Amino acid sequence: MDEVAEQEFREYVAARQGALYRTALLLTGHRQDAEDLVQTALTKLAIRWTRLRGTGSPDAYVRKILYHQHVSRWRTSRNRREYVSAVPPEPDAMGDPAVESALRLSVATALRKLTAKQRAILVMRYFEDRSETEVAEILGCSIGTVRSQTYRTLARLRVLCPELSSILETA
Amino acid sequence: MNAIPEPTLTRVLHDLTDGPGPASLADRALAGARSVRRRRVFAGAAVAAVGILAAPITLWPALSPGPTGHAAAPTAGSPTAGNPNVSLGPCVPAVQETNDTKRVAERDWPRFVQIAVAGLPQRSDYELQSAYGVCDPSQPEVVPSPEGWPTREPVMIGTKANAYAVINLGPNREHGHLTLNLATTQPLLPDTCDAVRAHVATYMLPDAETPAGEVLFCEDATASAPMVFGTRYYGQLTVTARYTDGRTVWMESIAVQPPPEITAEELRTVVTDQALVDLLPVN
Repeated sequence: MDEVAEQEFREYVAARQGALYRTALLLTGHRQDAEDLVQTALTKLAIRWTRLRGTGSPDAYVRKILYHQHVSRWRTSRNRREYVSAVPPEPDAMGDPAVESALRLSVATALRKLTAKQRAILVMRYFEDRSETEVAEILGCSIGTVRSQTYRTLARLRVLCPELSSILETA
Repeated sequence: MNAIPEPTLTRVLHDLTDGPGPASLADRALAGARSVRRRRVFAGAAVAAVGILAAPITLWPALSPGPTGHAAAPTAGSPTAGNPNVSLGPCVPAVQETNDTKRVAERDWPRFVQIAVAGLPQRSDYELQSAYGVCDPSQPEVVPSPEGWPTREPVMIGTKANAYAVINLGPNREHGHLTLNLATTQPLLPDTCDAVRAHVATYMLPDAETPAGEVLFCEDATASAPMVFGTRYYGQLTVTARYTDGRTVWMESIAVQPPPEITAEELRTVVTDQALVDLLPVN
């Protein structure tokens, strides 16, 4: 990789690392795992950077790695001790902090009980706001599969986290 | 009645990810990529050389030596009654050497990491990136806040005791990295080789760039040995030792570019080390 490409890669990482880390945090539920996942994905991206930087799609590539690498670590999401470092919200920006905190804890607990693939779909659809087509492309499955998986995931979430029911019914 | 003011799933997910992220990962990614390129060049040259040298042998296969793949050397530790004196405290991440470098000085390596590295092939580039445990995660974890950030309360959503370490091969992961995990119980883990094979067939599916997952070896538990199995999928190896009392030790070997330098058999030596599992109490 020449100097210009390396500089571009550094700029890309500086701009996107935070977002990738947040996605990874939701996928893994664990800070160290999340960092490890992003690090692995970025290294794979760096290998192909020269080829990908011109196509304008490094983001798509690195996210694909992120999701596949996560799903492949099949024990991780289901069996390892997990926690999410939740940050108390700004009081003036949110409602009752106690209720918000309880809701976050409830969602975090529910996330842990989803499969790696269910988590991935949830994160892509409701955190990254991706379309069904994009999710299907990233996960390498049909739009129908994404649709049915989303439906099942929300149904499961509704059971695991009743506080969210009213939202999910209209989602 | 729903007391949550205008909640949305999206907002809650965003809340959960609020907080400081890691320091820049660009240097490590670039160093890892450089290492792969060097290895490719070296491997290309080596293949060419081997091709020249092997040509006569290939033409006359009867003269070629037999397979020399190293024999598996199972060292599965025997199940143990567990150490009744083990008492787990709260989880505390190992001390980072500096604020901006993810590295734990060797003098601060937790005991379980020392044991694991001692059981791995001898090399000089093992670097502990991060670790915690062996600990009791039902107690609040001590999470240091970066300077300038308010103190944060971690929300625990797991209840299983364990330990976790990320061990880099090279300061910048030039040769890949390993993860090491210890847990007192892993109820969702397959507990027979048939279940492992079924899981791999169901979930470790191929895609355009990755072949299907593969069970490298699997041995059911016996009276004197834990169940031990190894899998390969998406460029990484995972080897797990599951003891009949539920305690589980597993490692992953992850390459920047497959195959990983630390092999499944080498991981197996570590995860079946009696000294490791003895660090865990029996639930």
